[in-house]
Amino acid sequence: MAATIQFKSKKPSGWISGYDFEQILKEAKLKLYKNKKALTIVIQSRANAPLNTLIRLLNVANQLDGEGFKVTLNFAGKTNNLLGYCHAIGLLECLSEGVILKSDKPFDKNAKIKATGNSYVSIHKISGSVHDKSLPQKLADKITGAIPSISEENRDNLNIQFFSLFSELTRNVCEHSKTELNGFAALQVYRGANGRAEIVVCDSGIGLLESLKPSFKAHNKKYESYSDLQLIREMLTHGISSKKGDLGGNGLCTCFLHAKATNSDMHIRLNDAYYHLFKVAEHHNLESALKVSSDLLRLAGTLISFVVPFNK
Amino acid sequence: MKQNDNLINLLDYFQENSLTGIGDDEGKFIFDKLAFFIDQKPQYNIFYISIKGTVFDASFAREAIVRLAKHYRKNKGICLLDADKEMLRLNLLAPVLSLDQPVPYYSKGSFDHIKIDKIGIPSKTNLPLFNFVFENGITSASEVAEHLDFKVNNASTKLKSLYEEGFLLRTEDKSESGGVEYKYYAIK
Repeated sequence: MAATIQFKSKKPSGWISGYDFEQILKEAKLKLYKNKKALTIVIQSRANAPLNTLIRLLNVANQLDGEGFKVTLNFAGKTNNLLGYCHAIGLLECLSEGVILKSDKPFDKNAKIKATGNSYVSIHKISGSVHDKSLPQKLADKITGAIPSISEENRDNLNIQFFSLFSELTRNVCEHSKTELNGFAALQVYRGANGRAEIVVCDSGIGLLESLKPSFKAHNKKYESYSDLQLIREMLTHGISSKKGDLGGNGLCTCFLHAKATNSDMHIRLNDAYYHLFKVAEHHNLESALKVSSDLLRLAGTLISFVVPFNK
Repeated sequence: MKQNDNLINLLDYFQENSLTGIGDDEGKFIFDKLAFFIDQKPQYNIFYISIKGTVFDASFAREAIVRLAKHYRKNKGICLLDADKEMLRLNLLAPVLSLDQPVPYYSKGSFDHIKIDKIGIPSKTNLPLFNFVFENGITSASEVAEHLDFKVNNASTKLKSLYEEGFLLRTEDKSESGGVEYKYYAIK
């Protein structure tokens, strides 16, 4: 019998944040570890979710499918909020072929429909083996092109920031994920008074920390005794390179500097833990901005997201 | 004084070679090009790189710019021009920290170093000497000692430290006693 997860919110709004979804997965993890054959995720008709949550949903479905689970996404109800939305933003096209889609309302997965609402969303596949160097600028242009009223100087700076974040994160996927499974780069632009952009880059590879650990035996011996949390802290503040000498390790550190410069939120999902850095510029040190959720469902790869306000 | 022969327009290299500004491979490619350019002009001690119109990530910045400055440290200076975009300067910061190499720049006529907190700039005790040399041009330890009320040995040690850390360059001169006297100047 398939394990079942109810994708629904306990909040009246119906919104399921990335954190909420992690809690849903955490509660279900024993069922999943026990029943390694089938999983059905029932997406309730009133459920709503931001991009960050939906990319996690995509990642979980694809990873479990890759592990041999029979994964079903069941969009319940005749008028399911998320079905049309996931369809419009191209998320359904990113699901692995083995993932089964069910809906009470018939739909064509390949039909094109237009997204509506006060935000702009875009999802792109990232190859784990071929580095597309044109992608970071394209994505940065999509974001800054979707911001309606902002000074040109601010737009230029934001464009460089998003280019930098996408460049560092998508290159990490190609260089360190060591998987043929696709990763994803996604963005959502929220217009209006509280204008901001959320970007998410994830993969299903070996994970950021695991890609570094072989170097601890060779030339990074001082990190051998570090906990995962200490390693994350070191990567963000000083950088750790898997290569010998001073030939790398600037990527995540630069991302953190950008988060500080724009008072962004930054999230890192690795293994069975989720590191949340809130309003980075408002804290004197990294520790006070950081919250860690642990003992989550164990997932492969790395997921990093940023919420960047347009007016810091 | 910035002259054309020691001014490098990075955008030209981007356009000629269809670069994206991404990654250490492109950074190393530019390093080789710029090092070749610099080595062809031994008459200049300071080279100015305009980054106007370019965008690059931290890995590119590390290999193309910060490593170039480190490569020529104590021999020639690298100074950035048109570094007006705050977010682009941020991409130089992690390489400045990891290579421990200062990078001076001009933005809208103002001089500064790529920096965060106390990193990337002269130490608190050396800063007055750096500022004196910056303001007054080529300067000896005895001149610094006289104006800042240091002992000559002390001024000499601090200037040497600024030189070795990559903040200043120096030239040899004959002292009145017939020995060698170093004269220091800023990379500006």
